Amino acid sequence: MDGLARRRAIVVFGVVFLLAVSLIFVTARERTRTSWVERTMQDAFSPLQKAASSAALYISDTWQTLRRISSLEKENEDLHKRITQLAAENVLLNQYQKENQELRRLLAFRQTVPYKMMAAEAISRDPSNWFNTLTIDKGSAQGLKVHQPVITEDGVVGQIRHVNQYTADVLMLLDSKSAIGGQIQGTQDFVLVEGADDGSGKAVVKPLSPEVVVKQGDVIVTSGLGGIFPKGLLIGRISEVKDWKYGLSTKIGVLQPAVRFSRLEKVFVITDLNN
Amino acid sequence: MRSAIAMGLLLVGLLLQSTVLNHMMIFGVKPDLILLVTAFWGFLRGPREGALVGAAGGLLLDLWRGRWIGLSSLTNLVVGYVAGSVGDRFFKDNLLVPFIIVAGASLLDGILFLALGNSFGLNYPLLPMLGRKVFPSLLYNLVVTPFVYSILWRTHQKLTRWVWTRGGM
Repeated sequence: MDGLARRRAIVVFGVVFLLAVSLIFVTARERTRTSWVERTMQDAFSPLQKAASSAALYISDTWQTLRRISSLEKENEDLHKRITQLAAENVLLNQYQKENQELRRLLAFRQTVPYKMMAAEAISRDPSNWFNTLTIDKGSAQGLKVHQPVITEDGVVGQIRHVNQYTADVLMLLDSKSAIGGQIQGTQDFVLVEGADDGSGKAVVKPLSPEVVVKQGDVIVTSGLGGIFPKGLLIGRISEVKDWKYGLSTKIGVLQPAVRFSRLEKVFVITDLNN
Repeated sequence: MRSAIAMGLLLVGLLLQSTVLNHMMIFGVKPDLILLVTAFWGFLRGPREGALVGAAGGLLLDLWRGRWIGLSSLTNLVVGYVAGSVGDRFFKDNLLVPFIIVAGASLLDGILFLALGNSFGLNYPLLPMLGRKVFPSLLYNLVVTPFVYSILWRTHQKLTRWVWTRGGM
């Protein structure tokens, strides 16, 4: 490069530099008006910018949405899994809560009864309509024997009629073959509680001597006579008194058992009358 | 094949009768599914099969009970046989006939059970028991008749086709 050309270059740079600096200087202050150059340029560009930015926005949105969909799908799936899991846990917890309450109740009951008992679960009933028997899930393998009394915390259920190795049949007090020695609470008069077996879910209270009077509302407990049931277990309450022409007495009581036989689940077998 | 199906039906009946149906008792009775299976099996497939199915179903009940074993076997055997013998004289697609069969079977079963049971020391009073057990259970059996009969009818159709196509037993 010769000296002339060099000087021209320096001058051009100087001019450009000055122009730039002054432009910077001028536009550095707050401006209320823009120049026509700026205006024209900006106006001319604006539709393109708009299109571009909306395209960009669209792409960005779509991309975001796509990303969100895939993450939402996953999230949804996770949440569904979680809901199912929680629902299952909830059912289980409810069940535990119920079981807990039930067990607390049974434990409290167990502590109030002074006999050796074994808890058992009622698993089925006699399949026919002829007998009121109940099958429980404990048998001779667990030490159960025939004639052991079966009760719940509400009262007397019946007695074991026969024992298998792992199950036992309980003759419920509703069965017409069942007869339990009872006593009227208060008067201490002796009665016999027999199953009515008429589908009413009730039993019959027959006085054991002509002078004994049964009244509505009388509470009947076991008498302890007969050696099967211990004394003082609740059997039920007399709900009605009826005329009777066959036995010792002219009146008999209809007994509403304390136990709800339609909802029997857990029962206790008294395995030893002495604790 | 036939025996397996019959046994399956009887076992399902036994299971339902000893568990679920206890929550659906009306007037202290539940439907006697085993009796219904027996009666319909006999009605649809003849006295011989009816008697066999009846005896098997009755034996299941007897074994379950563990006492008076043979009592239900015998009564159900007779019911199955009679239903089979009577069945030949009825049109099987008449809608009323299954109900008549069930009413007859329930009555026959009840009377036989009481008569036989009482001769072996059951000592049930005959008339009161008819009122408390036999008639209510007859009515309940009539209620479930359409369901049980439709199952037995379809089973019968399938077994008949099966024998035709395969020549099997």
